[in-house]
Amino acid sequence: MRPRVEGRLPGLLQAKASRRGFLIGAGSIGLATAMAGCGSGGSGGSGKNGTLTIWASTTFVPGGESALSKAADDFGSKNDVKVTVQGFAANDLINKITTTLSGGGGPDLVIVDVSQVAQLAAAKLLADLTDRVTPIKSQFFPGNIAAATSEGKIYAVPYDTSNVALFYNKKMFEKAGISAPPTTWDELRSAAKELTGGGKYGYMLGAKGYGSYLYWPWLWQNGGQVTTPDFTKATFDSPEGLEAWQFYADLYLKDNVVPPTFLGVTDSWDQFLQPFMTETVAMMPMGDFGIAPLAKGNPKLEYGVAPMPKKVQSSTVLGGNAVAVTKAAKNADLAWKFTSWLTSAEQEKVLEEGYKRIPARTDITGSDFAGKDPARAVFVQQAATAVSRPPVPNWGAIEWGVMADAWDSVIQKKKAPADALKAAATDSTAKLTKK
Amino acid sequence: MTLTEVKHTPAGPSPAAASVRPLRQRLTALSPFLYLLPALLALAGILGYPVLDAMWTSLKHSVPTDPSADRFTGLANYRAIFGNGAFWTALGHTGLWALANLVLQLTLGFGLALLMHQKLAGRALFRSVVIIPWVVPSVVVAVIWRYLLDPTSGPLNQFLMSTGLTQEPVLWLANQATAMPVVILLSVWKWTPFVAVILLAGLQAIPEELHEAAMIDGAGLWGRLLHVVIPGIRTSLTLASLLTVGYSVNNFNGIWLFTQGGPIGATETLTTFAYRKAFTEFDFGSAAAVAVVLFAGLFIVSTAYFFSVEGRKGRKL
Repeated sequence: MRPRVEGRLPGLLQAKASRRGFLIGAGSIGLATAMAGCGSGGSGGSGKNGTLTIWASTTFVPGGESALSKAADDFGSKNDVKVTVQGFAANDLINKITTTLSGGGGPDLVIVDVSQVAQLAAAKLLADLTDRVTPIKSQFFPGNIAAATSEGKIYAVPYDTSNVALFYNKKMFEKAGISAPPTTWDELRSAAKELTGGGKYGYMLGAKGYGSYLYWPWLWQNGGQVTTPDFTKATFDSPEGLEAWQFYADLYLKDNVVPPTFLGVTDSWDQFLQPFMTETVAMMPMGDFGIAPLAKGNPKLEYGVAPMPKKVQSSTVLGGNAVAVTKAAKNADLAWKFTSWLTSAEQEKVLEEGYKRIPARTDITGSDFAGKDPARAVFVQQAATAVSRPPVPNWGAIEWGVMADAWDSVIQKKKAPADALKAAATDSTAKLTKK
Repeated sequence: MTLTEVKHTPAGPSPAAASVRPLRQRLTALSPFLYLLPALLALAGILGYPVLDAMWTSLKHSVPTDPSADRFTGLANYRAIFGNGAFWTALGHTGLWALANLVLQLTLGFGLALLMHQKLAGRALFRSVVIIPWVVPSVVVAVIWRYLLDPTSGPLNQFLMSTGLTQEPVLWLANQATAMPVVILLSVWKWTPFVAVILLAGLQAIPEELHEAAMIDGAGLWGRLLHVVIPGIRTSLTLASLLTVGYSVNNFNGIWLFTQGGPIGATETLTTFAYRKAFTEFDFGSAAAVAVVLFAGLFIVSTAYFFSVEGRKGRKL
């Protein structure tokens, strides 16, 4: 499971958490099967002024009519353009885009995870949008722009933004006599220990790429960096990195505050959030995309959301999606017109109402949407400072290959944490420099 | 060309006719192949082209994220995968996986076929129930079994814990020791009915007279099994084992949908290894090299198998 990287992960939320266990993995299975488009919709106008095809993950196009396809219709009928929206299983999308566009066909526009833009750009599948985006750059959060930038050129326009915060169970906290969510590493560890016992656990982790993805905040909080500023060498095995990795792994290995079943969390965020949803786990790191499945799966759950704890500084990892024009777009101006329209302030409602996702526009700060829900407010607040992962072509191979394998070898107790991290850094550097 | 002429062909042209209309006769002899030509061309396109393309890709540096570096690199990809310990582990797992599937499916499939062959009440119902696992799409199988095996909400673990057989839930698919046996059993569960149906067809083709004759000669149940049934279904057995090995080696879904080759490579076979090379590392060249090795291996094994079976038949008959 191709199934990947951050947006791939939230994409897995398509499996409905409400059915609890049964559908767990169903989404991921869908994406692993390399099946073709799951949903399509949108036709819009007459097509007098051209046609546009958009590929997105099933996060946005779960099949049949979706908010995105409705928006596309809207654009189409206003501009006499025939707009088609097609959805693909999140894990499959990037593979489909790469193979189809390399073969000369494919969509005019794609909506992809921010961490995959650099990969598509390096494959020379995207149009350079630098000149068009630069004038409106300041409308978007800097982290999202950074993620859409590769080797000095901008290849995509930020669409939605997400990041990771700390979810905590208020009732379990009350019972354990803990008055407020932890704000530092030490507080988090001691709270997690307090909350563990009698079949309950303090903190949640994931396996595979979920492990590597959720390591980055710890690394940054401790003052470490993933790579050198020029992205040529992996530096996450610095002393800060090693300390963060050890702390992170010890939550399971030494502190025993993590349910051992986390070893099976390999495919979806639904798997990840299930123990928290069923009140088996008191705290978990989770993106804003976890709010909706929790509300559906356990509406009575009393939980709060707090910023991630800090060490030498506070930090969290940035995700979300971006809209890119592909090299297959025959009418680049029309494709751009749609892109700038979809990512404009007027169309924020598509994300807000249709998907309950946070637009990557700075004007969202202080908006009604941001303030309506206290949980969401934390994510909006973090959006301005969330850190994007390095925009490098081989990022998927690092996060879901090298680092996922390293994390698994640690939690499966095959390698000592420090050894695994050092080896992973060497392998990642090889991926960064590989031509 | 008339129907009679076509019918005439298998019997072979008479010497007299051959001397009168040699060209016509030759064309007639050729006609079956001409009829086959479109299908053969289509097959060559559908089967041949991808194979050749994979072979060509395996000789190139083909990394889509680095298109400008595309170039012919000879056997470099092969050297790289042969020098990779993970490849050999995956190869070993592929062998284990195929062998276990072969032995278990054939043994259980034979037993099932014998049962299905009995004249029992409700045989039709029994037969259709037996083939259910085979007709259910593998994605659905995966959803069902992953639910049953789920550590937190799966009924199997709930049963084990409520009866006190285990204290902690068993992570069937995330435990290095259990992952491979479990995916093998699930694959056997899914594919045994298919083997059983093939063997059942073989059983049904054995004339009742042979059984009667054997019984008159004093053969018991065991004797009939050894001397009538097994020789009678030899062709079906050959077919079933060849198909089982082929399907198992290529069975990507049966592993990927459950474990993605994990945990830490415990269920990694050559197909999941190739998939990861292609779609995690985006190294199409190396992935193609693995696929070609797989293809060559299967080709050799199946050819050798066919020859040995054909040879045995030749001696016996």
